[in-house]
Amino acid sequence: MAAGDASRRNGCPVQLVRKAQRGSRRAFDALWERYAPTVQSILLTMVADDEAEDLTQEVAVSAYRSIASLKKHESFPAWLCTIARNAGRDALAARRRSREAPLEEAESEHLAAPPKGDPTAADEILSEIRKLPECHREPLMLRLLLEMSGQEIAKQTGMTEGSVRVNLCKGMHLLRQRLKHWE
Amino acid sequence: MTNNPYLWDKSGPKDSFIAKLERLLSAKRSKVKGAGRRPRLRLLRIVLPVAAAAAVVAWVCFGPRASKVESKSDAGSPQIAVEAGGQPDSEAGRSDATKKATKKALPPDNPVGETTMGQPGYDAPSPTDTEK
Repeated sequence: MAAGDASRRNGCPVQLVRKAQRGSRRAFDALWERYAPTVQSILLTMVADDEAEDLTQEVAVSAYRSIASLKKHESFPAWLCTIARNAGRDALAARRRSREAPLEEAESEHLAAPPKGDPTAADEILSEIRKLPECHREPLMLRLLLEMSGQEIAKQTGMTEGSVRVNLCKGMHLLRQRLKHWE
Repeated sequence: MTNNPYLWDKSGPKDSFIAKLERLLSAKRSKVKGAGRRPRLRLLRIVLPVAAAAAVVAWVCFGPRASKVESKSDAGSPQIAVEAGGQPDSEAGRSDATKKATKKALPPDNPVGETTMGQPGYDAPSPTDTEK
């Protein structure tokens, strides 16, 4: 009953999660169609467009393989977000190792990497979001890119509404300062 | 600073800066929102041209026009049936008894077709052999 209440609160289709755990590919596809944009947005807070797309597919494969081990069905969205964060961090760590550069330098170098081709205004916004502290990036990306409300962000990422509110507002304040020339 | 209704859920007065960012990100938004559906579309993009090409090839090979061309060429030419890898049977039409007699007359080490008259290994039958 408590699980049912929780799933109603965060809008997680628990039945689909159960079916996917029993091996239903169709159920997993339905879940993935619903949450893939959130996954890709989280990855976009760490890596550029092309790499985010590739990592999104890796997250799908990883989630499909390990969904049977998920204990709380209603926490599927937060669980998926954790896989996405780990995939992004692993990709950054692998890049750092391959370059053998100091951690700070490699991360800032990577996050500030310009997109392929001519950077658009959108690319500039995403690039500036990537330069913000990690805790502000995710709520801001979900709010601006997917136009989620604060409540929706909290439901999907597993953060508390209070935490989302603070990080969203502080993140936006910092972004305003960075993009002051646009106002 | 933490009380911006437009930032929280788009309620209240519009924040022009946030609205501008939302507008500039609209193209990226539609791309990201299709993230869950893209693999299927990618698959379709690969499968459809291959299926179309296969259909065209099948139509060219087995379609009604191809069979008409085949039947026209068949009508005008005589049919010659030759077994693959086989030689024309020189003894066709002869009786079994005659075939056996010819085999007996030939030496066992020299099968038909491997030697010819005048070459080493060819034993010409003498007139007496045939009389026997």
